[in-house]
Amino acid sequence: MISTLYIERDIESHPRAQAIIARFPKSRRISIDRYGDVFNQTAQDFRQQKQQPALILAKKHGRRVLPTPPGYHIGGERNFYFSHMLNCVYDCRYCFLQGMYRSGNYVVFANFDDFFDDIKSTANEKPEEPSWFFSGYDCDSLALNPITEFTDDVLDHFNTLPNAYLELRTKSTQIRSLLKREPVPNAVVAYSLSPESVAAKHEHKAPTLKKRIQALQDLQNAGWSVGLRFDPILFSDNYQSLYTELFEQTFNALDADAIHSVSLGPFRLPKPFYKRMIRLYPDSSLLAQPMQTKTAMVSYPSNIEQDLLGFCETELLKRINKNQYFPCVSISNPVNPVEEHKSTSKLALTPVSALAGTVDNSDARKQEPTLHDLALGQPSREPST
Amino acid sequence: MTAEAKPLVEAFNLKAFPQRGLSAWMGDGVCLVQTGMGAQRAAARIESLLSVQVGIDAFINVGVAGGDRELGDVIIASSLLDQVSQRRWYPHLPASSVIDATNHCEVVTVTEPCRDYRNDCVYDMEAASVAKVATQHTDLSRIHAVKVISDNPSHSVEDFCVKNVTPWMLNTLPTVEALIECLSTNKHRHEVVDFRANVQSLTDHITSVCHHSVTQSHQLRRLLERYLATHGHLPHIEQMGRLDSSQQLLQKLENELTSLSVIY
Repeated sequence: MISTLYIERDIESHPRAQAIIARFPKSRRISIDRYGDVFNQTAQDFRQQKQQPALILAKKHGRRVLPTPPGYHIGGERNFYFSHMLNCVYDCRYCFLQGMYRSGNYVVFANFDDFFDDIKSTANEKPEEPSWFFSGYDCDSLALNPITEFTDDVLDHFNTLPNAYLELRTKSTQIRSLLKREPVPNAVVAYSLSPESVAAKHEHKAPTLKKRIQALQDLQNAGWSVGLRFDPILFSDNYQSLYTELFEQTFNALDADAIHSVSLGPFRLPKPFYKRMIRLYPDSSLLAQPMQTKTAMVSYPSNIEQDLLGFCETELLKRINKNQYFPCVSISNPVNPVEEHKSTSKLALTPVSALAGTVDNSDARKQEPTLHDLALGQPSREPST
Repeated sequence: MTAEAKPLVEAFNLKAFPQRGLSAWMGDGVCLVQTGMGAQRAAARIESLLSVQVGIDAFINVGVAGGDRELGDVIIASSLLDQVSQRRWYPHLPASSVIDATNHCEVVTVTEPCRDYRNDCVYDMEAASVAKVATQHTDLSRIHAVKVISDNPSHSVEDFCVKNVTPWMLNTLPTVEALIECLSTNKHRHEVVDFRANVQSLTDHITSVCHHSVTQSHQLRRLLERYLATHGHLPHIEQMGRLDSSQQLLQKLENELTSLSVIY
């Protein structure tokens, strides 16, 4: 339940903002100039705010569609991302958003149409080439859909753009609006999946694995293109049995040949984010595990990471074709994404809020921290998705 | 002013806290300080209190304010503006089930009484100053201002009469009590505060019997945090062997954490 709405004066008369406001008749409403005044102010406690987050309705200025970092793709050459929302309704302990933002409040940019205009013009820069647009890195694409109605709008828009493809990254089972409509052929609904016991321990407030698989199954049966994101892969002594079981549960429920793409990524965080997360959650057993720092990123020790990824890759390739598979670059054994991109048509490097590395905050009066200076700015992407 | 403090002293059964230069009262988990009038005085009194009383981790500024509202109306600050610096703070407000969602507005802290009454803000002379000091000690979910209207367009500040203050201040009590209850029963915060306190206590004990450099003390604290997070309890001091080498101790803890099984 949202008790407090902060509303930018610029957006308060916007029909979408009005529709969202109307959903919270009992909430207090506070007018603000710019979302950054609240979202980026000092002396905030992300962990406390996460218990009772406020919703900030804002207008996104500046660059709304940004290129993904080199090598970030699921098969396309032209790749972009956009965030109609900042922060996530879930509370996953590995999520980089905890280390990136000062605030646990949600920001929803209500000017979807401006995003769509930018997506269209970006796609039309090279109309002969398909362009990919990724949603769900600074938020969950579907989780707040009953309030924002984002998916209907964005899918209507992509229906008019045959040269543009959309990935909706999520952990949410809010798929009613998708099932009500005809599948959009140039959209992929991609679910982040973890073993049930890992999800129960670290993915607070997120739907269970069983429910996510059920949602995937429902979407696939309805004709939607779906993707699987096993990211981050977390270590445990019983990881082989956990991930074998996860893959069996998932692929037994789905038509593997019809899956659009599968990606795999290790646990990884930029060092400053990791340090902030430890300050917020000193009692997290996940963050208490042995880690190593390499190229400004924190991840599992190399041998553990390679064993984990190697095992999962072998298991996955028993179930899918190589052309469906998009592994992340290993943190402990990184390749140069640019070189890799030149040498292979299909790369790796999935997730990540690479975004974090390229987040555009030009409209925030007080700037959110970003990863601009990091050589390998790709945290364990799952913001919570 | 004393008339503002009196109803709070009585409601919370506070006892005078003898400290030179401070008008303060203490009670069960609550400390009240009379800031006096004006931003500088308020900041100085809060700083003085913090210098003699450890463990204060939440602040509620309670007092009178002027605005285009009924006399005796109570508001909670949704934002605090220092009119001089134009700096603004947004307290993270509790759920509307705890604090009525309707009575809120900006509190503008001014240096002189203001007669330009508006309905979208109220004017006081201390709240932003208190927030400025308080944000050095805690986060904005634990800093609030509750104001009662003492002057408005019909009853300007010149008509202000101290004898009315006590009954008006009684109006603030439900809000203040609800805030104190909310702040003191925050389970999530207590968990992490207790966690940190337990780790710090053992860290202090170990470093008191075995010399650690500053860096080693930080390393020890984090290792103990990791130990507690993964084991559910801190290591037993008697099982840690002789504590005559900080390096050995750190290595021992590190080895124990590295070899720990992780099972989901």
